[in-house]
Amino acid sequence: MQDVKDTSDPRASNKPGGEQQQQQAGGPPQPPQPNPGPSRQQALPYGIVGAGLKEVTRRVPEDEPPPLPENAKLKSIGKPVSRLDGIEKVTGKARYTFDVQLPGMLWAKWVASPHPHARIKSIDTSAAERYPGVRAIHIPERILSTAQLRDPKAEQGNRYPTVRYAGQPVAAVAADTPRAAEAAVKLIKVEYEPLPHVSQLEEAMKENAPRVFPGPTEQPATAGGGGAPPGLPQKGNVRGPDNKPRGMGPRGDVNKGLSESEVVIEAEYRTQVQTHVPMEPHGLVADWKDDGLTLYASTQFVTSVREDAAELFDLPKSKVRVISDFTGGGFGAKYGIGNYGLLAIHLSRKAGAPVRMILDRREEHVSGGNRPNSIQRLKLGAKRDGSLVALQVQAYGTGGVAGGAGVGFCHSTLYECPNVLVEQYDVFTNAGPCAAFRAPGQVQGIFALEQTIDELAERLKMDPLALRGKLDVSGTDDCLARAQERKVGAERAGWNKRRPAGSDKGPIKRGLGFAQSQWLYLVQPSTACEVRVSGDGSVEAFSSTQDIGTGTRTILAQVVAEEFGLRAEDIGSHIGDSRYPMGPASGGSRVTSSLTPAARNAAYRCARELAARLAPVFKANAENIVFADGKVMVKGKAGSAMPFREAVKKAGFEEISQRAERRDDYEGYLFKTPDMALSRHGIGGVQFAEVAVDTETGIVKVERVVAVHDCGRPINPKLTESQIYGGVIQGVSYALYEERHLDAASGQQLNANVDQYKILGSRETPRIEVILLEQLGAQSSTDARGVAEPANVATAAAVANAFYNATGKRIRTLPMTPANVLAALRG
Amino acid sequence: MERLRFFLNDKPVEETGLSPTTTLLRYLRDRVHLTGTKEGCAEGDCGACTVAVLEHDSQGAPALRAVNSCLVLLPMVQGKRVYTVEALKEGGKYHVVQEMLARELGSQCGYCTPGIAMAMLEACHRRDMDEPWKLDAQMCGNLCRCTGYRPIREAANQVAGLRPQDRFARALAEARPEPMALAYEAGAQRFFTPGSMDALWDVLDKHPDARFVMGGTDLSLEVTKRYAEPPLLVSLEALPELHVLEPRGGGHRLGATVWLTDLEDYARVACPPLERMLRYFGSRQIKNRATVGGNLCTASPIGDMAPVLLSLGAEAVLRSRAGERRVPLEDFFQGYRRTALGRGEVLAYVDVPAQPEGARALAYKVSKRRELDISAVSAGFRVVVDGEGKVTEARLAYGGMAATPARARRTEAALVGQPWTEATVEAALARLDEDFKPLSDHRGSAWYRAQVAKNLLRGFFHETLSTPVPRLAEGHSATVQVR
Ligand SMILES: Cc1cc2nc3c(=O)[nH]c(=O)nc-3n(C[C@H](O)[C@H](O)[C@H](O)COP(=O)(O)OP(=O)(O)OC[C@H]3O[C@@H](n4cnc5c(N)ncnc54)[C@H](O)[C@@H]3O)c2cc1C
Ligand code: FES
Ligand code: FES
Repeated sequence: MQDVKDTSDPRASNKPGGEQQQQQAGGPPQPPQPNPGPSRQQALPYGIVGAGLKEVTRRVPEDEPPPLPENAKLKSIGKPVSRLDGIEKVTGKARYTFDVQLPGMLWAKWVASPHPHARIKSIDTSAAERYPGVRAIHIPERILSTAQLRDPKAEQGNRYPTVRYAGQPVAAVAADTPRAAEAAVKLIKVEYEPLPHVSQLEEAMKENAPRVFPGPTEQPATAGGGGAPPGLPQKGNVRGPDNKPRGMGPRGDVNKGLSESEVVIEAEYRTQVQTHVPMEPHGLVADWKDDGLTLYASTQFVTSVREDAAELFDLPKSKVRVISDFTGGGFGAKYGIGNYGLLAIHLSRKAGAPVRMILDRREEHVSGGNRPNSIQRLKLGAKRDGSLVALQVQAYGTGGVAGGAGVGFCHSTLYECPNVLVEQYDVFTNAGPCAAFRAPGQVQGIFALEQTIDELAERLKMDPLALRGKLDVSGTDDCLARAQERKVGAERAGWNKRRPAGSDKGPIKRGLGFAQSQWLYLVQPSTACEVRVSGDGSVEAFSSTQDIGTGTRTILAQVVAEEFGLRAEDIGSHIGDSRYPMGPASGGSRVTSSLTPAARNAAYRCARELAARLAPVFKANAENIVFADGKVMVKGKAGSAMPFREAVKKAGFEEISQRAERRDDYEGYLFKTPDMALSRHGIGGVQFAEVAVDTETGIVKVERVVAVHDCGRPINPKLTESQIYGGVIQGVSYALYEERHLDAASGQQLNANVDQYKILGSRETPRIEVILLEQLGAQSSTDARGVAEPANVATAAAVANAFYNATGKRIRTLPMTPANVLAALRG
Repeated sequence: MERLRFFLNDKPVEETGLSPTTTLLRYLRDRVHLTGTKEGCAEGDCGACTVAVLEHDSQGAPALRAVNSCLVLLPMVQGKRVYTVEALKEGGKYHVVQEMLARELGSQCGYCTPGIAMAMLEACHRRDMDEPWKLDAQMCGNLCRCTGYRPIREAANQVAGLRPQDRFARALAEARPEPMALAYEAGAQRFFTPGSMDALWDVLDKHPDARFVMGGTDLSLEVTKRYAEPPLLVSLEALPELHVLEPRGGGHRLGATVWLTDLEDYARVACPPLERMLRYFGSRQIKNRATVGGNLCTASPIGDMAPVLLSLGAEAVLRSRAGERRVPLEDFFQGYRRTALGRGEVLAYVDVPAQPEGARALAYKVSKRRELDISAVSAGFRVVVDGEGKVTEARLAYGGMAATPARARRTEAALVGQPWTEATVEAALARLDEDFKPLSDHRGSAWYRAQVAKNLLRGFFHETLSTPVPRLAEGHSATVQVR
């Protein structure tokens, strides 16, 4: 569930996550009471704007700001404001961690193990130490980002951490220049005792396969997309079954269900290991000084970097400052300090100088995280009328030395089915650790599930959209959104012109396919925001959250601007510094849903306080002071209007400031920890893909994608659209190109670059048409939800269904490389 | 000893003591702290490091060219004008490229943005941005993991061919870019750029083991990926004799040092099969540096120029102090990454003969991704059909099927003398398995390669039925156009 915590975090295992809580309680958890304290009953707009907006009444905290109407009635929220930091980015001024150059800064490089599995017998650093320019050397005493042995005694007595994947850091050097660091690294002599290794999923599942870990392991239930509850059985490299994906399921009796089914569809799906390839690799610049540690981090969660550093170096948090001006992409993999950060801090402490440790492209591929692969065996039983009777899923996947290969959330929850059994297993291999990756688990799971549903529709001669309409009936907000999305999307995509499978006669075959998206609606309850107004009329907002490209600075400013009647450009939007109030992680599509209500509440309070200060100036009651169009005026008296800054100056104060925390959703959550709360509602989305398959070369071209999405209230439709474009291209890229190749003999990655590890380029990008719903869920003071992940969930499945429609053949293996395609067409 | 000298954002720069294999990217970022230029891969594949260099095209006219600074070694910009993203904003005013990128929301995380801005800058100053595919080709060297490219394309579309009166326009009007000779030394490393053939022979007499370099798009990878520090490099960039591109005896003379961008332009009308191949060769940035000579001399089994040139019956012209010799291209490739070049010899030209009457010719490249990808299989075909519809000559050349680019001799033989029909092609294809035993690797399995190699010939038959030498269709942007 907590897809965003560093998988290595040793503390996370004793910090109960959602599933663990459930596990311990032995059954569905008691939903916590939302927002204890004084409250009022509030009527709120509810529904999809333009498709029947209703009103609901919910209990809200007493001092909650009044509900916002739909976007059309707002001035700043919901407007396509351009990215506030766009200009910094096009001038090259935006400073990424990669660009941080401090006086006296040293360059660090690590020694990577050439062996995929080995005990280290000795490390001789003497030659490296003597190399000119070398200032510090460190040998890590522990390795982060991997599963941990349940019983660490199994490896007691080992002087150095066991090497479990080729590319694992063994030692690191900091030197005056990059060249010196590169040269010195080559001088470190490591004596390895190679151990038998296994890097391929199915090999590792065999009983006599080499063991990646000498005993059972725990991966805090936080790893790349599901993790697993503690205490699961582990046999050899195979840990599981976990039959409660993200805490959901099992239900009924699948065997009975299957025997009662009129149609049974059975198939096996395979997906590949995908690496994140953020354009800026992982990295950190550490500056250890006697009075405190400053870290410049390329991160998705400033807070997690501070927590890791404080914990691992036994420092009070007050002595650790984390700065993240700009992060060059992350997609789920940039949490915590990682091994590179751990080493950078050690080296900085030893050398007494700032140290820059940034992975190169190879290291990034090998150790920076990945999306686990999967083998999913599905058995679906249904009645002739299309209703599902049973769904059985067995799923294996490997996240290398980390767990988190679970894919079964969608299988367990998306469609109405009385009998469901998902058994998901993590298989350990000698390969780099997985990490959360844009909709962890769901991208893989939906690829299999949505093809299976499509197959059922084909078998029953039902329209695939109509069948979804029959099965997707949970009544949650995402379910309601998808119903509307199917309707508008089908119209835009020309669904009624869709031809029977395999209609084209020539070698190029075209088809149209459809798939649904499902993602969780997550909130980080610990989120806070501060808003300040200075005596000169400046308005600023502060949050420690970071911007990995989603536009956090901009939406923060938009929400605050709304309360003051200003424009987003007028707001100082300050993020990316752990000294600001705690902001959310940029993961799980939770930034907007967590930050904007806190920001609005803080801005609202601040604006009210400002109104009180302005009341004497305007000789009016504070309640009658309004902020609009850059002016302050008395309600109903246009003549009283005064430019905002001018008015504030007249009030004669230095500074006012308000802080607010993220309130609970008005309806409450399924469960809640300080880090994360999960709503019973989700985020929907549907996608239609048009493909052309060249049956002579096996080249698939995705020509058009119609992506229809919801994200609660879109705070900025332009930024939302941008997220959806991004999600779609990552989906196409995953569907067609991306795949990590590990050499079975050496355990080395063969394509650890962007030459052979292909990601989608501009020429391959399909026409993407985005339709965005505005859905008000009546849950928070902004009603915003996320979209980054949902946009990535359905694409590969939609492309695969289009492939079937084009060719009449199912492609059950990703990626759809020319070779896999020719094989699928032949088979 | 000479210094490194060039203009950086219009300011003259002089350096000594820097290793000649310092890349321009590292120089910019680490030495002069211009960190706007990013690094994403250090091997020419992502475009994050794109900068613009004022170059001369094959006709000697000045042109602004986007290049990957991670593959450019400092001595390669000797005497040239280099521009980075920091040069875009002039006198407090943003460049139109910047305005459009920001307005269209061309960035999410923004890490790719400076490189994209510089690729757009070339588009902005090109005079030939008259067809949509040119925009595709211009921008395909820049990866972006976040935005979905559409906003970037939108922005690029708006600036393409705009040619505003900016500092770059002034430089283009004033500068007379000419390659400069250089003899540079630092530590144990030397870099020579001889300015005449005689000077070249003098260097080679003294250093017969010198390694040649041109665009460096192949050679620099040894520096950036394998941390090699070659002791002596000789650049052929300042030899006007080799930088020729002209019709010759009904065919064409392609100078070994001609940049592929210029060759692609030339081939559009002059030699459609060559253009076909070049359209999907690397990226704009790569083609702005990569040369014909560099491509053939790597003798890579998957070098893209070889199959098409083989099929057209090209000859390599080799020069040394002793004189000139001509070698049919099939004899130029002697084995895996081995050529017929002797000591002290350079590849000077590639001569493509006039094409016989009745020739049908076309080239194909099959790769996983259409842009900026190395071929799994590539092919160049030329079949001559006489008035009776009989095949009189067949040259079927493949890349990716053997240790060198090679002709399918048995398949060719099976075609010659037969009527040019589908049945003949099918019958001949049975021989292709005797010609080649391809290998399996991550670009394709042996089965896949054999299968596609056959399908390409089938496609060729159909595609050339009505037009013997088809050009790329307008706006067409598929690697392989079959039927
Ligand atoms: C990102 C990227 C994409 C690429 N895409 C493609 C592609 O699509 N297709 C493809 O075929 N290749 C591709 N390449 C490979 C490379 O760009 C080409 O082979 C290019 O043509 C090499 O030319 P160059 O001038 O840069 O060679 P250099 O790197 O300068 O030289 C290459 C070799 O040739 C020798 N050499 C150069 N000129 C001469 C001469 N005149 N006489 C004797 N020896 C000489 C050099 O000594 C060196 O060994 C790509 C490379 C990169 C980095
Ligand atoms: S850094 Fe990627 S192309 Fe130069
Ligand atoms: S905006 Fe992130 S890589 Fe392009």
